[in-house]
Amino acid sequence: MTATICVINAKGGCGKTTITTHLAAALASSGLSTAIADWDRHHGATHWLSLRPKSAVRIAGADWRKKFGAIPTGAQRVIIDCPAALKSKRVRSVIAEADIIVVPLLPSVFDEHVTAQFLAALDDIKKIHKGRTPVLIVGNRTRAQSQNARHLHDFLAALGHQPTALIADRSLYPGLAARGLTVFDQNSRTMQARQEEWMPLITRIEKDLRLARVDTKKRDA
Amino acid sequence: MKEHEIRFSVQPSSRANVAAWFATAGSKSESCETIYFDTDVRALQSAGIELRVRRIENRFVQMIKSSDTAGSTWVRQEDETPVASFDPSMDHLAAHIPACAIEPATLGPLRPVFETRLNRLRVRREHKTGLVESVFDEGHILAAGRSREISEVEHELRDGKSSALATACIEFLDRSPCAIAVEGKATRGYRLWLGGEAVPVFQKRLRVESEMPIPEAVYRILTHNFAHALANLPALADTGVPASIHQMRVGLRRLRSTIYAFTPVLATAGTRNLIVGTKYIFALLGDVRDADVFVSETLPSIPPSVLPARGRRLLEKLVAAHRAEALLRLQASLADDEFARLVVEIDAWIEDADWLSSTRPIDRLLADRPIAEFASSCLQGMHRKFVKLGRRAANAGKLEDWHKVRIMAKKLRYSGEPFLAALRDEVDLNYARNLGRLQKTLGHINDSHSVHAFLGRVRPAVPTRSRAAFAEAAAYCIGWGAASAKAASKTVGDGWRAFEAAGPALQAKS
Repeated sequence: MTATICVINAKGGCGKTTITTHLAAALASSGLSTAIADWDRHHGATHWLSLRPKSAVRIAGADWRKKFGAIPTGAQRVIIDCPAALKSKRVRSVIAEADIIVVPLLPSVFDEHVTAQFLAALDDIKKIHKGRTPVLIVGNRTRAQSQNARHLHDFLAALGHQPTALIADRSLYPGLAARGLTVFDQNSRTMQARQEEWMPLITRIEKDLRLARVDTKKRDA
Repeated sequence: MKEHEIRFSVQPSSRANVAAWFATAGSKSESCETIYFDTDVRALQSAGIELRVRRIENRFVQMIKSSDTAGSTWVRQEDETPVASFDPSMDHLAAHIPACAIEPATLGPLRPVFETRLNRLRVRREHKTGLVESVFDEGHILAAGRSREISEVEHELRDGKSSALATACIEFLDRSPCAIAVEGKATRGYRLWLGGEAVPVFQKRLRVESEMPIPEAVYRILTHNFAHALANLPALADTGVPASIHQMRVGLRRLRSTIYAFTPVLATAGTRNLIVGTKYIFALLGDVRDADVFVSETLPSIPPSVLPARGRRLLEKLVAAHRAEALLRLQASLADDEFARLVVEIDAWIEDADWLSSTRPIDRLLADRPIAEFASSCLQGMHRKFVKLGRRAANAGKLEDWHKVRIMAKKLRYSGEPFLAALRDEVDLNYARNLGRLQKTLGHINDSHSVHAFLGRVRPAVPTRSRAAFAEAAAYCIGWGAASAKAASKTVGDGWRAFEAAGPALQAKS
């Protein structure tokens, strides 16, 4: 059974590809067959996959710009790096079919402005409006306990949301990305501390998928 | 209440040592008389339930024991209540019969079926991780006018972790080397009542639900396979019939395959000694099994035109002598305290359930992940590896390559069976059947190919006067084996291609 996770925000540069690659590496290293569907016009995730060493845990790739909708055989989790837009019919239908939506958000007034509109637009999609598809917001480049984090909490609370995880801005991320890696590909104490920041998001995704599966089975029964 | 106990049989030569161990530990002595009840058609035994009333000095206690859901050899459910006499309390029985096992209302009249009379030394000892009660029972089982001696020690975990029970058992074995004893008094009592010998135990189907979390599924599969291997110990020790050898071997292979399949999520550092120990026993079982296969499968396949009747009779006789020696070596090893330690350590490893990998934050996901998700990716990985080996062998056609395919087929089949069961809603179960068929073909090739090696192991014990005749008969067999294996290795490629064409492990149900 394949579960799809859409990483999307109408605002560009909010860290969609970083979140996509980290989610994929985390789920793959936990033992799941994982694939990235790269739908972003910059092809950042595909490029990252091409840099990935053979020794690293395997992540399959699919280029949705060339072959839309392709899913590698046997993939249990597909992370879709979506384009920064919600107007296209195709994007809306992919979101409507997704099991989970992950929305990265930077602590800046510009990002907040666009994201507020984006979340409102997402809510027009029936499955999201009815709460059947969870929308998980990730405060990117935001340290917990910082003023930015408090501000982000207040901003999201006003919209009826709360951040699922806060990922701090660290200098190691660009270096790892340049080698096709993530914090989940190394297991030093420093990397484990970074991995912990991602755990609330990953645990929540897995929990929501499990609950959805149980619901489906109950409905089928 | 869960009962977790491990039992050792005490040989006359160890009796003094054991008694001394109990004396130094400050044991108390008591005499016990126990009557076991069942219906004429053994309704309780069939349902996996034991009902007994025990008199300890002037007290009467009724106890009901039933199999644990995972089918462990050493873990069971038990419940006891004081009663006034040897008459069993039907209310207590009705309240504790597992709902799925038997309908109390339909149970026929109960009657005593056998009894035990024992002198018991009892001691409780506190260990670092728990409290363990040890008893030394000496006496008899009495049934249908027959009697059988009892001399055994049981260590039961009263509180704490299974490692405490293992510590108690190992400390005991250090002072008093004893053999492991798989069967409880009730099993022996029933056998005494009914007559007959211990029989081989075949594997029961294991049901693993797709949504079962990984830790629970791992526990069930490990327990199931370990119990299957151990259940064949009594038949192996009593008679050594071929099926008991084969079934114990299958149980151990499945146990190892389970560890192999779950390696990505297991902390396997603690399993190295256990793997080495099981491999040693597996090799001893293999010596006997090879002789059984040679006599029952290989020899009948060799046409009389290749092997004359005289040579055939000689080989049967010499291989039977080789088997008898190999069986004695095996039985001696299984009755050794080293094997008892191995059983104790495997049991503690399984029961303590500290085997899930926990070195990375991401490992926390494993505790809640449904087994079907793990099974799906694991089977895909193993299938990919299997296909790679199979294609290489099909291209090269070398026997060594097909041997590797055969070993991988066994790993895939034995570890994959419970996974496929967990995925039964999603996959086509023909995969297991196709794999079994291919494994059988590869097994026949291996049997033919290994005739040379097997007869080489028989040769050293052949009496001088039979050496020339043995060499001649062996040469016929070896020549036939090499030719058969070579011919079969050319055709097995077709079998492989049929398997590959049938589709991958996770082919969706149509």
